[in-house]
Amino acid sequence: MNAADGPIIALLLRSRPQTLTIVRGMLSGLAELLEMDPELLDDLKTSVSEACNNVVLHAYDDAPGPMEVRVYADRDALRVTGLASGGETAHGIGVSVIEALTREARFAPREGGGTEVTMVFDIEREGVPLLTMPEPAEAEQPLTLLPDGEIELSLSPVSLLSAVLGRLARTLAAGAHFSLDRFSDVYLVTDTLSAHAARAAATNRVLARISAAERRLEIELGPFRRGAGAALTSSEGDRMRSPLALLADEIEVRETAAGELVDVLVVDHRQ
Amino acid sequence: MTPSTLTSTLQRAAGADAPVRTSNEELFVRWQQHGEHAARDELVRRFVPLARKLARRYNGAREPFDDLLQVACLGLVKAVDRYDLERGTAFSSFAVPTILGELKRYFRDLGWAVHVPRGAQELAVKVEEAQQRLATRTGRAPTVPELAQYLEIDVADVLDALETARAHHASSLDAPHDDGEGEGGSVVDSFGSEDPELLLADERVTVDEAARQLTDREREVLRLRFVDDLTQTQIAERVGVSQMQISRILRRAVARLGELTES
Repeated sequence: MNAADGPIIALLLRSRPQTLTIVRGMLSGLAELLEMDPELLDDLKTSVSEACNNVVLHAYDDAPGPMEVRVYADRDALRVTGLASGGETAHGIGVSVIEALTREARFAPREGGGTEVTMVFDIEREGVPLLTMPEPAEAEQPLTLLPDGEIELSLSPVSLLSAVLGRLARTLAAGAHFSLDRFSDVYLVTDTLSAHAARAAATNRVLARISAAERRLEIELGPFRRGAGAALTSSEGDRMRSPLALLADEIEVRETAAGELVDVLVVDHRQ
Repeated sequence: MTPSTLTSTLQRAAGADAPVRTSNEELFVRWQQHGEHAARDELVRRFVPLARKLARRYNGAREPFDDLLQVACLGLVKAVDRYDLERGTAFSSFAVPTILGELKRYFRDLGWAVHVPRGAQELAVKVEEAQQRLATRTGRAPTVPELAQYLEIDVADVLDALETARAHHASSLDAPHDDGEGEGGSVVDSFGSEDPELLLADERVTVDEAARQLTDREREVLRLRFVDDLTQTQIAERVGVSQMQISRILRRAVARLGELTES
């Protein structure tokens, strides 16, 4: 493994019961894209669920607290780390489940409290690869701590976005009580955003922030090359209005130092 | 079945000789229609490796492996008793979810958070049926938590089932559209509307080849959704297919339009 390689996926979220659904959805999306062996996916989901459960149940005494999950594609392994910044997390039956399902599991206290769990998974069985490894990830940029109710995603290479963003957004939309009509529109929104990222991302790492409230879903995504957002909003240019313009309640393109950010709001207006 | 009967069944099964290889089908007939316990024992014996394989996936947890294996075997015996030959599905595809269900229930009773995957396809069908039933009852598309509550399963399982359902390619409902006039359609034409909202007035994007690849059905669905602003459930009623099908059609059509306008 190249030490400079960042995680292919870094997810920062507040631990809460829904966390498990979000993280498992992310893993399923990734598995689908990488054509992962179903048993490996089961092991991944079970181990990561146990690690998350420990955080949700123990680390914060049932109050939501920040939590980070990172997935690294090493040369010969898939490595997942889970980090909670409070409490004691390395105990309980979850630990033995994790140890049983991983090649290697480490539980290390973290400076300033909390525990980091590292889980290493084999990527081949009897010489047969269990997944298609993605191209190397770019170095990670720091994630910021989020206000309540949001998740932040950092992902590289950008080609992984389609599977992961969709799953995350739909999990939040489900929790925000979208009817299946509007929930289904979220597919089109994330498909379009992912296609946009594939051709206009400023680097091979993208950041997304997804927030949900009752019947509202907001996705911020970037950085994109300057000027690229016009294709989405059709404020000028010569293309058809993008499906995004037809589906979203609001689209905003913002300039930042790193490039453009696209901010999309989807509301379920049903009566 | 009580644990002691299970144990004796397993013991008999383990010790049983199998002089002639009888087909599984015949054994099922003998057990289910004629109540031959020996046939049931033989079936269990044949499929114990399957139960062991499934139990092993959860080995290493607090409980000894033997207990897990016993739970898995209990699931196997249930599967043998409930399997319906007439349905034409292979016994193993029927048995796996039953055994996993038994293991899952066992973990749940212990308060463990072990997640056993369900028969994804089977669940996808159930979710789709539930969706239609709820929509008929309430007159609107249900939410994911409503589906979960109705089916008495986790929200996560509903989400997985929805993903599974959508991953299927929509069956080809229509032949690719080609009006034979050799004239390139614009995106607006493909939507069947002259609504100026849909494009920037002067510079129509011609999407000749690709627009022709949209089927009549796709065109109609796009129009109903984006021009008439109907919900997917309303479109489903009008077109006579499920909302899930409409969702697939839209996703495919939008992806195709995206490819067109990109190049």
